[in-house]
Formats: sequence, structure tokens, C-alpha cells
Amino acid sequence: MKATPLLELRHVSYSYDKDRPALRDVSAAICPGERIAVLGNNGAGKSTFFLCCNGILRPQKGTVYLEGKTVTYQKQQLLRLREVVCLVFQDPDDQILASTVEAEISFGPMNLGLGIPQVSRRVEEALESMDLQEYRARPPHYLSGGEKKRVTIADILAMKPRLILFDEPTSSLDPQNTARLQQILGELSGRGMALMVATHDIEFAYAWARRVLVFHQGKLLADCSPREVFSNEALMEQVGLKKPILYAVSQAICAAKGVSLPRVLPKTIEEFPTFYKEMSE
Amino acid sequence: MYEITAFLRKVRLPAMMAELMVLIYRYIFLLLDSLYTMTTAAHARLGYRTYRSSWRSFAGIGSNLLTRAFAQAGRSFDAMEARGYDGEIRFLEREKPVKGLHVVWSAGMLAATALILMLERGVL
Repeated sequence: MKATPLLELRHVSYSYDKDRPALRDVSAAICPGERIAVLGNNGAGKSTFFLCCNGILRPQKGTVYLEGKTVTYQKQQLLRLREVVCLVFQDPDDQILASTVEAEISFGPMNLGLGIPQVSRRVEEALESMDLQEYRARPPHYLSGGEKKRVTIADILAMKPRLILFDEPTSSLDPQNTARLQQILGELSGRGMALMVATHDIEFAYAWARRVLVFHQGKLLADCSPREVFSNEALMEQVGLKKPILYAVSQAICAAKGVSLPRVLPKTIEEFPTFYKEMSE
Repeated sequence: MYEITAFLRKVRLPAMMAELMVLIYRYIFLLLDSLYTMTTAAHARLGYRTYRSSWRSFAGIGSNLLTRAFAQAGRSFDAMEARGYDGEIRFLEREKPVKGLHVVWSAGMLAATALILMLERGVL
């Protein structure tokens, strides 16, 4: 028997105005612990999809289900939805509103109606998990881009969600902070949290994701494993996606050897030497 | 900043005013940043070379800043709602116990102020 998905969208459509449908008939179900990459060019509908997932936007057509129950957009239901499904916005400055990091992290738990001691505890835990203890009393506008990003993730963690949506998290980060973010995503996955990351970083999606959603002009064109997406040349061209370098290299090596692609492919540069050695034999 | 607003709330200032103070304080910095970058970009394109072009740049930046403020407000509201905002902004307030040093400093400042006043009035 399949477990009840955490969040499900069925035939969801949303338009910002009459002649611009941002989402068209999108259906997807997300189960606990999943690692999903959301791909698609700018304007394909990824952000709109996320905003429908956490109830900020109400779809004009279709239904959203939280833990199997229909979301009716009443206050209590929306609060529960936003407790379970949290969104980390692309620009940290859109999300941060308090004048100290501590106060910022406390915003979410306070809204959940928790008592002061519990809020305090959650703030401490979030500060610790994002390594922000020394920043607790600092004003957010004096932090660097990477630090601000960690603050926005910490204030989502303080709400203890079960599904976290990341809208292009690495877009404003330098390589060091990007690597750090990838580490954080690994840790969160390890804790059993379902994660959905919208990204243009195809190498990261290939290395990290177990499932890929591909958006194009508001439609969900593909919902499968990374390998199925990247081996679908027609889809890649239609959507305008680049193949991950490691995948393309593996493909090239196998083609040169005249063999079909093996079941296990290297996803990171560390795994590559072993693969190459096997192929050379 | 939020310590000030928490205090104002305790003395029965309407919650909305305290919340506005928090938000205005936060967004002033963002808008100042935008203003600075737009002005620099205009300078780089000789937008302030003549008196007339300066006015044009000023008008353009002003209207753009207003538009950006509205767009920012929309996004920030979405982000607040996404974290369960229900109409009232609440932050965790840190307990700030009054320490002995605070009392000493306060008494010292009061004494100094009194001394200056007395010297000024020629009482001493």
C-alpha cells in the first residue's frame, strides 16, 4: 500500500492575469524524505508552483491536498499547511524583516502560537544547526549574502517543517557558500526532511536529486529520475536544458567503447575514476 | 529596534504603529541600497552631467524606487504569509535584567546633567 503523500497537487492551474497562464494542469505528489530537483527556464512556472504548494497562491483550477486532506484555504488550514510546507525565498532580503538574527528566527515559531520557552528552544536549535550562534544579536542588513541565506534557512528550520522548498538557493552564492549549502541539504535529507530545490545548477541536480520535475511554459513536462530526463534528448532540447558534464562524459566514453550505459553512473567527480577504470577493462 | 517597539507596545501604543516602525526601519536600509545603486549607475552613464539631466535622473530614480518599493512589499508580504503571519508581528523578546552597572551609569549621568544645569543657571 502506498503511503499518503505529504503534499499533492492535482490538475492545478494558475494565472496571474487573463492572458498569462503561469501554471497549466500541473499534477504532482510529494512523499516524505524525497529529494526532488525542479528544472526549467526562467518564467517556466517554478516559483508559481512553489507558491501554490504552500498556499500563498490559490489555484484557479485544481486542488491541493495536504497529508491526504483537501486544502480549503481557511485560516487554520493555511497555518497547518505553512507549518508542514515551508519555502525559502530566492532573495533573502525578501524574507528577512527583523532587526536582529535572533528576532528574525523567532518570527515563524511565534506565529505558530507556541509558548515563549518553546520558541526560545527552537531559536537555539536553529541557530546551532546553521552555525549562527555568534550572529544572534547582529542586524541582518550587515551580513554577507551567504550568511543571510543561512539566516533564512534557520528561520524556516525553526518552524520544523516536513517539506522544504528552495527557490534557486545558489543563485546569489559564491562557490564556497554553494558547497556549504549542498552540505546543508545533505544534512537535512539525512534528517528525513523532504526537499524540493528549484535550480539552474544542473550538475548539482544530477548529483543530489533522486527525482526531477521539468517545467516548461507552465506545464510539467517530466516527472521521473534524473537519468530518464537527461537521456531524453528531445525533452532536453525542447526545454533548453544542458546535460550534466559527468553524464555527457560517461555517455561519450560508453559510446566510444561501443557499450550501452551501465546501471550505475558516476554522479560526482569522486566517483568518476572508478567508473573510468571499469570502462577501460 | 524591536526592544523599543516592545516597550511601546507595553505602554499601550497601538500595535499597528509599532509594527509599522519595525517594517519601516527594516525597509529603509533596502531602499537606501537601491537608491545608492541606481544613482551610481546613473552617474556612470553621465546622468548628472548637466542640471537638466540631473533632474531627469532624479525623476527616473524616484519613480523607479516607488515601483520597486511596491514590488518589494508584495514579495515581503508573501514571505511573511509563508511563515504564518496572521496580522500581528511578534518577535521573541530577550530578557534584559537591570544590572548594577546600569544603575551606576544612570545615576552618574543624572548627577552630571544636574551639575551642568546648576552651573549653567549659576546656582553653584
